[in-house]
Amino acid sequence: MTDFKPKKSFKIPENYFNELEDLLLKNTQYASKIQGFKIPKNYFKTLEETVLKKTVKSSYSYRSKLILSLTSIAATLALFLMLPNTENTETLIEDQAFNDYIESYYLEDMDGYEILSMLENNETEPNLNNSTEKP
Amino acid sequence: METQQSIFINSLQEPETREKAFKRLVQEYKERLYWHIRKLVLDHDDANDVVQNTFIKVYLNINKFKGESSLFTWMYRIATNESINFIKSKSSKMGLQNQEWIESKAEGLQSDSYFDGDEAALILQKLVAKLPEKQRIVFNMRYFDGMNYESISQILETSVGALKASYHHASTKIKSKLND
Repeated sequence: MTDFKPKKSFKIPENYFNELEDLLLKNTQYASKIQGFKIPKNYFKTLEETVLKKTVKSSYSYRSKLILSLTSIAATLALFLMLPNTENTETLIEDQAFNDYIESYYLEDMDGYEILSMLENNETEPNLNNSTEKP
Repeated sequence: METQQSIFINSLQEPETREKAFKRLVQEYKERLYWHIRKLVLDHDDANDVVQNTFIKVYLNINKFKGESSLFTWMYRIATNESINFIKSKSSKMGLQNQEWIESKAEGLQSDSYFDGDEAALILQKLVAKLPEKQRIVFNMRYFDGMNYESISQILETSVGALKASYHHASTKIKSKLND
């Protein structure tokens, strides 16, 4: 009794489990079909072709969408970073030019009264008040 | 040592081998996925749309597949989710509940040129369509596909106990309706 080895007593054909796997897969495919449901002739052949075509298309469209989004983000960032700088630089240049012009040409031939008359009252009053205040 | 599946997944994820490996994948799984989807959406044209979308999703997301489940389980899950989303989208466009839409599809099987089942098959489909969504999916996978609970559990990410309960409720309802 001690020599009894049940596993050794039973044998299976060579490659049985590999073939069984294939057989089961085929049977599952067959069993998957339900009674009454039909498909067009050669449907699975055309399905394969359609899927392969579509995946290539969707892959390209996915890549181009990705590139487009990245380009848009880059362009937006560039605009965001560049616009305020340009504006500041331009404003500074314009202010400087205007000041230079006023100092060099416009005020050159004017006396103190004429310059004072061009300023608004509220601009001059605090200064005048300050100047009249006693220390 | 790398298993056959991981070698195949690697070839699907590598850009140089992807096209060839994907072709093999489509050849291998197209019928099984199609029939799984067809049972859920009932109509051939709808199943055709969903199976194509499923393969496109598989193709675009293959790099996200981490091998935590088998490739087939992962694809089956995508196919199931795509079918559910398809039903949701179609039914909401028509202002119907998901189940109402499926019931209307089952009612229309009689005049469907891609259905030639006998009266018993038609009655069974109509009864299955009346089941709540989860029970309907479980019933299809268990009764028509003969899948075991462990596989269904992996695909639907639901416990075996909950699946057994769903199947029990579903089959009891169908049996009682058939006896009426």
